[in-house]
Amino acid sequence: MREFTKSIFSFSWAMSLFGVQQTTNLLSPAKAAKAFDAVTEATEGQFTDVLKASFDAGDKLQRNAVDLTLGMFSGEALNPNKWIRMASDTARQSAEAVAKGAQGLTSTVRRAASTAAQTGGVGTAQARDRGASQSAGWGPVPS
Amino acid sequence: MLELPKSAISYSWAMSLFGAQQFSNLVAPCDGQDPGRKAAAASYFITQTIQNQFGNLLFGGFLIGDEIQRALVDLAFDTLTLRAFTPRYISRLTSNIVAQSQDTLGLFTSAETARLAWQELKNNYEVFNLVAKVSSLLNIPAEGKDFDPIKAIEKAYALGEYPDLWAVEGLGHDYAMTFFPQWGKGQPVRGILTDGRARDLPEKSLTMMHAGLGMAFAQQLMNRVAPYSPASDIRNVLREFFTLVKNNSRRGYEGAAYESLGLLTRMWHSQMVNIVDQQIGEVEPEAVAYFWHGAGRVHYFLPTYFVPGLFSPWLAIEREAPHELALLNMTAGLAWALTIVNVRQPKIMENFLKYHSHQVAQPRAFSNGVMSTLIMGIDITPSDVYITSFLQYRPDPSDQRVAQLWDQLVGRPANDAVQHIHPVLKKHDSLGEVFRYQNLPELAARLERGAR
Repeated sequence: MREFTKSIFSFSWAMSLFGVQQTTNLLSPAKAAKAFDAVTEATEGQFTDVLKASFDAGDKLQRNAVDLTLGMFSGEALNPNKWIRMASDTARQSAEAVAKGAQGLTSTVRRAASTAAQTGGVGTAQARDRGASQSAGWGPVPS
Repeated sequence: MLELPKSAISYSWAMSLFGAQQFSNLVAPCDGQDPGRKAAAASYFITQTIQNQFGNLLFGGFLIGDEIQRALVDLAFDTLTLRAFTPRYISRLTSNIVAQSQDTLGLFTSAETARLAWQELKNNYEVFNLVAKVSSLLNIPAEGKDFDPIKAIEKAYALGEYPDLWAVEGLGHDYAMTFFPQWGKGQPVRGILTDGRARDLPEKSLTMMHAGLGMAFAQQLMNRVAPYSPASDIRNVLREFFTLVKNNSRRGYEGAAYESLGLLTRMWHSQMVNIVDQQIGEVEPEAVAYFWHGAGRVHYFLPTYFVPGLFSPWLAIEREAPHELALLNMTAGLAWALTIVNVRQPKIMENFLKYHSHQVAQPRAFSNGVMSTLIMGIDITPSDVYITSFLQYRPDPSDQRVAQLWDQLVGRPANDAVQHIHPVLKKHDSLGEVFRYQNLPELAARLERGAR
């Protein structure tokens, strides 16, 4: 619990400073975009399949939306083919994401239920975790 | 221009989903793992990535803030679990606060002390800048593009005595990075500092070229593991590091590269230090001492201890060292940095002995650090004027205690090191040995007898 708390504070502190860093990076937009992409990629690497599918669907949607919004100025937004392609892509990816989400939710609920059943409830599980972290520390698990 | 808003929105979207992922990690851990551990591991990787995006100033701010929050979280947990109320805990906390306060107040005892502290800060900043800007100073092409190391070495030495040392270390790093497309993918690479153009590198550049080489390997490899990685993964990364060092170093210089692993781990992956210590023991037991030497040396350059008197690195290494070997090597490493960074102003060392020598828990290790760094310095820049005048320096005789301390801990050992030990280590290809704590006169005698 102690290490988890520290890691959450570290993360929040890094996120705050990242905001400052990106403000200074605004002078060179390519650098700012690269930094955003690096953090996004690292975050994506932590997702399960379900969240990865949701992320991809949402990301594609927003990228198309940005293209269309800013395409207003170049007339791109008036191209009906583009709208149709975007709508069909979005529908397909959303369906995939929902299907994976449903699967994922079911397995998450199952895992949570089995964890609670094995340990006799959340309170007991936490007590066991505290004991484990005190005795074994937070080092790597030998394998 | 379109890429920035897209990237920014992607980032916000990823962060929102990350909240959901962390919630899932906490309530429904996979494979019976500790839920907090999985969530902490996920945060760790992202924090590391964010940290890599920071400029120097923000990186420093991040490290300082992070160390403070970690100490406060420890205090809060110790209070909640009532550990903070045990007599041992209270006495340790009080003595730490008193020692730190004495250290800070010592700065204001005289105008001369404050001036020397300011000079020390300027020296540290100069070194920091030299290391950060070495590529532009030596016109090294960016992003690992190939360059001629011989010409770059000439440019490094043209910077003059003192800057040359730091420039050569940076050069070793940049030269190793030109081979990154191969070793970064796990392909075997051999002879970076022994074959090809590196064969003609001047001998005097080799110690710090190897230190830079080790830095490049450690920097890339340590990004592959986290404190939550399985021990086998960490051991594999360490094996790869030691294999790379052995396959690419000149005989007798490996220690210089090993030491960089400790320096890099303590600077960028501080949570990994004790874990790496445990695993090195199984992979390359001889390297444990080098590792802790580097971890000690870097304390002098850590943002938290950068400003003299604010937080004492000498107290920090005592807190951090998990065993005696670590403390001896950290002390030697820290003394190494203190000496070489301030070699142009021996008065700073005299002032250190006057006000802070009581903080040095291991005086023999302190002396070893002074000796080792001067051996390295005189090897990099033969007949260096600053080292020569440092060796001849005599402290104010009116303060007998300081004069005696200088003689015991600095003056006599330093002269012995440069005049007698350095030639022996060089003759026997053993200069890498100075990157860890050991009895150097005994080592020199052993080498002369023909035994390692």
